[in-house]
Amino acid sequence: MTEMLRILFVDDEPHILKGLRRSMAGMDDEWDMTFCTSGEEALAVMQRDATFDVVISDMRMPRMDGAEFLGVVRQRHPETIRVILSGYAEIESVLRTVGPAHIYLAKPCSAEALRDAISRPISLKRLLSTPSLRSVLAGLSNLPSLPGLFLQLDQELRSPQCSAQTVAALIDRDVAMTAELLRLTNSAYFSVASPVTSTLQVVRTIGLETVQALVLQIGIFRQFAGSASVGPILQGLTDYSLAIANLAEAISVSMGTDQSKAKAAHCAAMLSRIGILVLLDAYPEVYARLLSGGGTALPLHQAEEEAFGASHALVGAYLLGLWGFAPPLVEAVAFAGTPSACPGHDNDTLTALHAAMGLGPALSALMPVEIQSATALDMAYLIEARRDGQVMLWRRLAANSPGETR
Amino acid sequence: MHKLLARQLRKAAEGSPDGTVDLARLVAMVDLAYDESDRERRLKDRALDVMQAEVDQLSQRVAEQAEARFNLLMDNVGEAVIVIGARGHIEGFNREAEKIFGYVAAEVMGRNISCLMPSDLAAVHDAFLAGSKKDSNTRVLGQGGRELLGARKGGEIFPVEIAIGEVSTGSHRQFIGVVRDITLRKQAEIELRESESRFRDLAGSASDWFWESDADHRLTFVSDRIGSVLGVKPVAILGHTWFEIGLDDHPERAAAHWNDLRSHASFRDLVFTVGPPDGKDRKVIRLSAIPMFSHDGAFLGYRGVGADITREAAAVERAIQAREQLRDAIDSITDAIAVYDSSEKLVICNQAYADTLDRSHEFLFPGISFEQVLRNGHQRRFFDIGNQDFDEWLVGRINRFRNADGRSFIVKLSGDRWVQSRECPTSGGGVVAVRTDITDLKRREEDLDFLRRRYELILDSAGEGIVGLDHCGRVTFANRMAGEILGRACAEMIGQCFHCLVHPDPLRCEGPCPASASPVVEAYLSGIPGQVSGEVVRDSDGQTIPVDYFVAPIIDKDQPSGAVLVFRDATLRLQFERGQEELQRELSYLVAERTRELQREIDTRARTETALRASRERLKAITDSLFEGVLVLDREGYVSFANPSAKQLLECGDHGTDIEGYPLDILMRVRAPAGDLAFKDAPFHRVIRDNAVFRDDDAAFVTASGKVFSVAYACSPLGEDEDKRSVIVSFRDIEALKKAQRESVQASRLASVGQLAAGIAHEINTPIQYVGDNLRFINDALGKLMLAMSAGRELAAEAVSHPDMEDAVARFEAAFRSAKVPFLLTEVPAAVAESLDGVAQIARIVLSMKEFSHPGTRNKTMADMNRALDSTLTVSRNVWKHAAEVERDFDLSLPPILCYAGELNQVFLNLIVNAAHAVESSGKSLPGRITISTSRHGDDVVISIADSGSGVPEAIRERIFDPFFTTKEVGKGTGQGLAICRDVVMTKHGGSLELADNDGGAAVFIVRLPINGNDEPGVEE
Repeated sequence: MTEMLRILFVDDEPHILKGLRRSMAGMDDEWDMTFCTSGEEALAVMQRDATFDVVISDMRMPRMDGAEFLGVVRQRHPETIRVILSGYAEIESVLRTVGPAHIYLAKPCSAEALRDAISRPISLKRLLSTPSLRSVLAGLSNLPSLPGLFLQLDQELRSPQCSAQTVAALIDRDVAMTAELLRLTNSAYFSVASPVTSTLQVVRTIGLETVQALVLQIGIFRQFAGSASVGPILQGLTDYSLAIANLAEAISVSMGTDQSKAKAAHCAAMLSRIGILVLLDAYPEVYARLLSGGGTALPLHQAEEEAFGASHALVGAYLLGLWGFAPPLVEAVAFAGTPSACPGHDNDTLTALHAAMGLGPALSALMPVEIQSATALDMAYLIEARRDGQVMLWRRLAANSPGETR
Repeated sequence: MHKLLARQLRKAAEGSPDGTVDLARLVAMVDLAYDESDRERRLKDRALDVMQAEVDQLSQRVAEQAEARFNLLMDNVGEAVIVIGARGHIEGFNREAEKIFGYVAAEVMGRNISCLMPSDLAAVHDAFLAGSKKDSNTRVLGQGGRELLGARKGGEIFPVEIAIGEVSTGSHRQFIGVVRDITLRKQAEIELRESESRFRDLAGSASDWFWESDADHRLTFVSDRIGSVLGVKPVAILGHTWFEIGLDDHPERAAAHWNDLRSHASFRDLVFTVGPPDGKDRKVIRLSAIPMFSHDGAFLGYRGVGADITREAAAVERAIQAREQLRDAIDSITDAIAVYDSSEKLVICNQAYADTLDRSHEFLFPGISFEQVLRNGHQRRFFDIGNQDFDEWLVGRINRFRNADGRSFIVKLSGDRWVQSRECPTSGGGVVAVRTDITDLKRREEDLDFLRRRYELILDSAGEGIVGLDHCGRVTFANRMAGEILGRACAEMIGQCFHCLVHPDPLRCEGPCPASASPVVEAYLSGIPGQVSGEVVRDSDGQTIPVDYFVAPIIDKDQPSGAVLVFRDATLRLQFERGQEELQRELSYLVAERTRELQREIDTRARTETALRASRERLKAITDSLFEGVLVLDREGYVSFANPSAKQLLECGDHGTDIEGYPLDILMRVRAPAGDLAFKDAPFHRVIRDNAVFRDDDAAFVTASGKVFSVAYACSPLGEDEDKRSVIVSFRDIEALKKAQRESVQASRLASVGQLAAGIAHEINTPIQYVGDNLRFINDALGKLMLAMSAGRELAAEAVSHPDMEDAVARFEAAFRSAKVPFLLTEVPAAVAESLDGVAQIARIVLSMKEFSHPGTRNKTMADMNRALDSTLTVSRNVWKHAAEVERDFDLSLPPILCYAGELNQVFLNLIVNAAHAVESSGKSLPGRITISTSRHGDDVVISIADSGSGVPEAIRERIFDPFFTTKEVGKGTGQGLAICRDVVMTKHGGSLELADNDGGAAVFIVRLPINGNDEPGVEE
């Protein structure tokens, strides 16, 4: 008997709550549902009975609206997954939820969609068994960006000559920004027809004005403000990600996939080491020490598991999953170093990402790390995936593609 | 007894039976007879008187005729004829006499004949005459003629031959003297005498010799004389023949001579040379001889004379040569020359003469008589004698020839040719005739004459006096006006000194007046053209009048040879000038006064003008640089000023045309609800009339080309006086502003609609959420209830057999039936499912509303056209659902395009609404069809919206995209729809919007949009 999921619904409209209770009645045996008609009431309930797995809140409520409520929840109960279920379309209010909410759902929302949205972080939970880490990830409001790039983007967005291309080109060079914007764009609010995978698409889809509003008014990005020693690591990580991303895209193209798949591979590679960013942001000293060798002979992922209970790949995948990224991308990030561990073999994004990691520049080549971090090409997986014949071609692509050495 | 008396007696006796005479009757009869006789005598006397008168008359006429004939004769006779009265005074003097003596007949008539004689001869003659008076039988000069001397009028003495005859008619005694000028003859005679004496000398010096020859022609005797001639002793040549002496040198003559000799004929003038050729002693000799025969007739030889004719032969040779030279000489003269001898026979003529008279050389040979020459010439129609009788002409002509005097005269030839002839008598009594062809001269003369007449005409018609002067200042011609001004006849002035004619104090000179006489004289003598003022005296009244002269000198060979004076009465001019002078003085005073005044004004004005110009330039610079159009219109509506902006706005700027001076009405009108206003009705005119400012910040002007543009304009009157008041119109094109305004109104409307829609969406989505939730709950619950129900029925089925449960089962069954449970069990799930569908539909509409009212963005965003069309169709369903069925033919692989989604939604809405209206108004049976399809063509997405209406008429196709054009009823359309659509598609997206023909003549609008459009912020226009 698995533990019941504790779910809290908050809406100022009692009919909504009653309807939800009726429509979710079938989940009675799995979900322990609580219904509150205001944020204050919900906060009080949570104070009394701290452990809710998921909070689902309406946006527009008297006194305390959804964004504010979820913001408080993030502070007080960071491990709780926060979902917005709103029928309101006003952009400012929606954007205000970008930070506090993990998942955005629009009314009317079918019971199935609601169930899927609630189930997703629960299933991710299995990836990440460490509660402390989960609470760290769920409590994240945003990730740190490169300080120089952040300033550049800030200036560019304020400039009258600002254009989609220039903005996208800047965002492209930052892992955190890319992740944030892709997450937002693919959310239910913008209801795009097909998942958006490139930053230029992002800017064109949500519009430059929205990007400006997000960056300049909402402040979704945050520039890194840690110790000086971490700076070069952050820069090296970005360079590495861009290099891997370009190679993965080239490999994906060589596999005969369409442009959207190639872009997806690029996107996955760009975000593949986002876990390092998270860990570095959460535990700067520990993780920095770990990267510099720290006296251990273990390879990186084992050292991470030993230190934090999960590798950076799993941490990244969890976060991306939490943010609603597409399952193939989350899967690819999770199993990029160990593709054989993945249940299927037909995830082209995973294949391209793994090949790029195995054939591209080593993490240590671009980052000041001492720890053993090389990724060996998993030939067993490639044979299973029937891509072993293309390795020679990929090697040439890797050799021709100069790593980003910025 | 008188027979009459006898008859009377018989008659008196008749009737008496006895034959007795009745006496009384007889007496009566006799009486009657006497009366009759008297009457007859009276008649006879009268007839005699008449006859006498007639005879007198006749004789008078005869005498007159005789005198006339005499006079005619006198005048035409070739010699001078003078009739002298008994006392020696001249009573007749014919024309020839006039010619010879140089007097006119009238001058000598009645004077003594001695006036024609040299003074000494006259004295003798006078004495002679005085003697002859006493003795009437005085012998007068003989008939044979005498040579005397005459005296011409000028006093010249000349020889004459005079023959005098006496005529006596009763007591009247007259002498007729025929006088011939023999000057030439006398000269000839003198010459002849001289040559005769020379000949005598020559003959004296010449010497002949005698000679004889024998039968063999050998010389037997030669006189001594030959020695001196031939320089040989006579014996030396004896025994020789003449052949041997020299004749053999002339073979022809020798041969001829032999013939003479053989026939023993006499010969004369045998000429040959003796001596060596070219030698000094070479002689020419001439022999003549007669044969000598013995008494028995035997030939003895010749006897003859010989002469040395060396000099003679040379002379002959020279004469021949001279003759030849003469002929050559006269032939070389262009004038025709002929020499006739004293018997009027042609001696010689030159080629020119022959050519003149006898071109074909038929008759003009030496020896022909002059008369014959004339006759032959006439036959060949050589002379033009006019209507004159030829014989008469011939007589005159020959007469002239015979009296050749060397004077030239002119003969007219046929073919309008003229020759000037001169016939001179020669000493030998012959005549030398010289003819010069003067046809050209004559023609020129005629031309000159014609010209002169014309010039005279011209000169006479001139309004000024014109006179020609020779180098001495004498008048050579004067025109009519000159005569009028001077008060003289023109002819009278000719030849007189002009200065002396006109000057009040004339010098009365004969020739050139000195230059100092007057400026006019100085002017025309100087040879310098110019203008002089002077005075002339009018002869008719002695008044002096002022004139202006224009002097034009006639320069001949660099020397002034005369002048032409043109003069004009200057009286009026002088009067005018005097008047003018006075005015001038007055004026100059006034001017001086006014100048001082003006100077002050000018100084002031200069300052003002400088300021004004500066301000005008400033004003022009300002108006030129003004973005606003500025017009100044006069009260008639003509443009008197327009700045560059005005021209440009009124579409006149491109051509650089000046619109100043054109009426405003041809440039623009003011748009008003009731129709476009011309100047008269526009506020401009009102401003002039009311002298009040007018302003309209939202008006529209219509240009000549029909372009309508929104303007804000203000007019203000210019000038105080209403008659001269203009209006200044300044206007600004606010089309862009209006457009922006319209767009912003539209945008804000859209934005508020969007906000509202978002709010409504939220409001609707909330109930949808729980209605949906509840329905799904009911649906789930129903399934569970059905399970429970069927369990209940099973229970009832089993319980029915149980006696205790019978009632309960019956109640259950009754309730089951009354509730129509089976019906509920089939209908409720359906009702719930349909309700869920409705809820889903509501949700879709709300979503479409949200999507349709896409917030306007400054930058383009990626949008899916299929979704855009879908949501547009959803929100507009109310418009089209009754008119047409919509068929979607979407390309599902259509890529999203970079665009302004909200504005494209508006475009699609417009096109869909138009399509629906087109179907509705087509009159076809409803519902029609609207087909919307999307497809990708290269880099473009193509969206076509086709309807099944009746299409767009050809006539308005060009205009449907024009702003303010609508075919809809008033109030139904703004006429902006398609114009805005086209603006959105073309200007904002770089695409195209076109109208094409659908099948069956319906319309289809095709929107073409680039997939990767420029995503830079829209360019502000």
